[in-house]
Amino acid sequence: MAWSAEAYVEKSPAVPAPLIALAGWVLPGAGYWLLGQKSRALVVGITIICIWIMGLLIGGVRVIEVPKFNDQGQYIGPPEFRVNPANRQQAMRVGGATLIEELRDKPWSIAQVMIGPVAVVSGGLSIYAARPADPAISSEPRAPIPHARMWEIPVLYTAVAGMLNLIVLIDAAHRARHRESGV
Amino acid sequence: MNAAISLAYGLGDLFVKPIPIWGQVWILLLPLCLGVAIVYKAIRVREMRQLPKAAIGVFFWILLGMIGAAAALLLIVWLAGR
Repeated sequence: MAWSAEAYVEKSPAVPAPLIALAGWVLPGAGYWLLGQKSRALVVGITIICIWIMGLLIGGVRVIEVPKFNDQGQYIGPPEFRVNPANRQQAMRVGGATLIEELRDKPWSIAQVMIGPVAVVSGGLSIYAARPADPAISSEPRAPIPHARMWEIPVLYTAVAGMLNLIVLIDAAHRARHRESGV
Repeated sequence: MNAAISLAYGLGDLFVKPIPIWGQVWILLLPLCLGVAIVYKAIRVREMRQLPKAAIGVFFWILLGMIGAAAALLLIVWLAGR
């Protein structure tokens, strides 16, 4: 059925569209909740979070790759340069990466972060799991990185969950805007 | 207390190791398609009571599309291999 703005004008206090979008980012479905569409909020929020959790269950928390952190859970600093010994007029890159370079390497993290603080917490857990339990004894991480399909599919799940939340928060903000303008 | 800690560790373990479903990964298509269908239709429907029927319809359309895409790719691979 086609979407109609007037069908959604309900009796609840008017909330500014940016606030609706922000609430939808902080907690999936919260934008609809603020608009008074509680059943829609619950269905959308629970479904999106379930997709995210399924992604983590399928591949483990280490499928979340946090930009600016490497496979060992260590922070990647800004690019470092040294003078090239072979050609003193040339600078030689010896390490580090910019945020843009990291996002280019892990573009799915842009989609994943659209689910809000859930992604931030999962990213934190992923960094924690990437570090060894006791570096003095072993350099083995707490949890392994999944490979092949067991990495691809969970990344797809989490990225789809993030993109669905983006669609949802845009829709909620659009409805709030229509309500503001009285359409 | 110990049982609660063991349970927490057990649940935490679920999020550490990948689930062993090698060779059956196509099953994972179903929950994702269902989730996408529910969220998509939850945005589109006017009344939420219309959602279950509408979401199931979209779910089967997505599956049909996936099967069609798989069949087309299989045909291309088969033709390329001749």
